[in-house]
Amino acid sequence: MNNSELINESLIALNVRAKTKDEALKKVANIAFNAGRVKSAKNYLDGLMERENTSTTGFGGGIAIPHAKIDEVLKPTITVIKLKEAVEWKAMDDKPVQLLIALAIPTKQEGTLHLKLLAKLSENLMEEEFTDSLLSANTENEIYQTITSIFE
Amino acid sequence: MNIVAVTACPAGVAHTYMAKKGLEKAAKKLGHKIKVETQGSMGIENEIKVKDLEKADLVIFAVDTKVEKANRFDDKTIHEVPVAAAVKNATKVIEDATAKL
Repeated sequence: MNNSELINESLIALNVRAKTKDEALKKVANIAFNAGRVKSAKNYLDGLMERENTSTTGFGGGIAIPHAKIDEVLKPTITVIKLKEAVEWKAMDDKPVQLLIALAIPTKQEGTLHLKLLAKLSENLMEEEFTDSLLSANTENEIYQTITSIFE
Repeated sequence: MNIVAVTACPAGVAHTYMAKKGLEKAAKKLGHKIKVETQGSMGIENEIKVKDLEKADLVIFAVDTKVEKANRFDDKTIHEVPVAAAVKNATKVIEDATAKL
């Protein structure tokens, strides 16, 4: 797999409407399913919610990194959603979440490249310069470019 | 101060590496040296060796899972926190740990 296979513009959605965290996660699951990345939107959604119930993935600054590692993932995937209005997330800083960077990870791994790239993405989420550019992006392409730039 | 740390989370994909970065940034800011071992889905990376432990003044575990090869740290006092603490405020984690020394 090359660097860009984890994400493409069909996996990025802006101005998404959701009233709750569950609705936002459902949008993520549907986008990943419609892009042919997971076998079942429901299984992915269940996985995301289960992880969320263990401990919050809202790490502060209005961003969350919901993720699920399940059998039904066809291809390791990053889905990005920017909500029209932020939703309550029980985040680490108690602030509502507007940007979701969601991961779908297959249980069975073929190589570790995608895991390395996801680790790199996670590390970059601790850098304000990176999160600021994601938060201020106005187009799918800007988000795509920002994320794939760290994989180069 | 020389710090060694281990980070680990259940999926081993996101928070393990966020916590690593958080601790590295905080240590730098506070003027400490740190080596962070990650125990994630790629296994143990940047493993803490005997020579690292010999010069370590402080051991931090930022983990939500059992630490692999934990017997390496048997002689050390370990400051253990949930992985989220190192993601949220790693500076506080290090400050709390050093205050206890």
